[in-house]
Amino acid sequence: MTVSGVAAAFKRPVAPALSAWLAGLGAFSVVSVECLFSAPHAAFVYARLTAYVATVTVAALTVALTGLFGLGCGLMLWWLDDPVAPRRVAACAGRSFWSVAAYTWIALALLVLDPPSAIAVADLSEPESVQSQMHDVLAYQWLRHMRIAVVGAFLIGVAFLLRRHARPVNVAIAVAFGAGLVAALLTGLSVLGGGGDF
Amino acid sequence: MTTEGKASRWTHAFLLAVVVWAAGMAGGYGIVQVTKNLPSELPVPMSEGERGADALVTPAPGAVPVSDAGLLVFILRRNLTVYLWLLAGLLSAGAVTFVVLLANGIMLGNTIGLASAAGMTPAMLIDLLLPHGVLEVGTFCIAGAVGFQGFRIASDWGRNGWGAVRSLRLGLVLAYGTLALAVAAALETFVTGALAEAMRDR
Repeated sequence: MTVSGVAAAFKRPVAPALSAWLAGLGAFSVVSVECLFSAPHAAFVYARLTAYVATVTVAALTVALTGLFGLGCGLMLWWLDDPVAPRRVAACAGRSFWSVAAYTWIALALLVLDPPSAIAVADLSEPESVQSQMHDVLAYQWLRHMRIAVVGAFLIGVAFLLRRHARPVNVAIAVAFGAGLVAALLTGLSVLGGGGDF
Repeated sequence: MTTEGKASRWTHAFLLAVVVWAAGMAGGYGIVQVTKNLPSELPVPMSEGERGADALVTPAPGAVPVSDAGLLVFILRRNLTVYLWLLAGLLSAGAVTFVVLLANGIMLGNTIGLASAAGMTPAMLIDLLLPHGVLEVGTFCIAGAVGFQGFRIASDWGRNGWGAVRSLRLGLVLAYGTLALAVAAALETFVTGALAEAMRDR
């Protein structure tokens, strides 16, 4: 693909939703990390680094998992004799990202309204107190409580957009299969890695 | 595409993986140098404070000792997870591969930096890292080279479709990765473990 081809791809309607989500995620991560780890201590330099690497990893993995979801949807539709071009499935998944972008921007707004207080070095000996401090922050509560709802909104959005290109029953089966495939991969990798991060 | 073209494509992807890993390592090592002058004392948790300096060298009471086989399985599972995440670049135009290579490079560079700062000599570090590290990091870079093909697959999907995916021989890639990482985990458990024991006794 040439540079102009990549530029053209970014002009498609998929790009605004993904860009909005990425911008929200980036801003949320910067505000959150700089509020929490502002104390001048080596431990917080590592905490900052880990948090930023984790944010970039989450962004890349979300793209990969969305790709897998789209692949699963496309394969199931093809198997059901109702094939949809992969590009179209990808476009529907990309456009449905508006729900995820909104989720991230609302979290950012809540974080600005109710920013977390900086963790002190002395707090590091009492992880439970830090955890309960985090628990009370509105933005983190929002992220925790709404994560299932936002996944549901994303899946409904994809099904809604795909229904123009295939039979609604087939679309529902394909979306469920794609979601199941992602859940199976995540569970498998989590079990393989001992339930920890990568 | 000619055989030479295919070979050069794979060589470029492998070199890119090595460069990303090395950049991560340099970054991880650099962070140790940057944070050297910052305060680094941490408050000691009460349970360890009562045990004093003993807490640093002996396991906590009640801790279950890990057998060699348990350690081998633990290392292999962790490394296989990293290997599979690296292959996930095939689904994300290489983005996951880039991030996972960089993050793991940073972690290794950081470990080397911290070990050096704690007084480990380069010879000790080579003894501890080289036997299993060459095979382990080499295998990760091979997975990185495969993951980076995701960009080509994504950009050529309209022309090649599944043909590009089939040309990757993913079965062979998975079989090689599992075997190589199993050997690396065995080396890390038995050879590196024995070398570390010998260093402690010196």
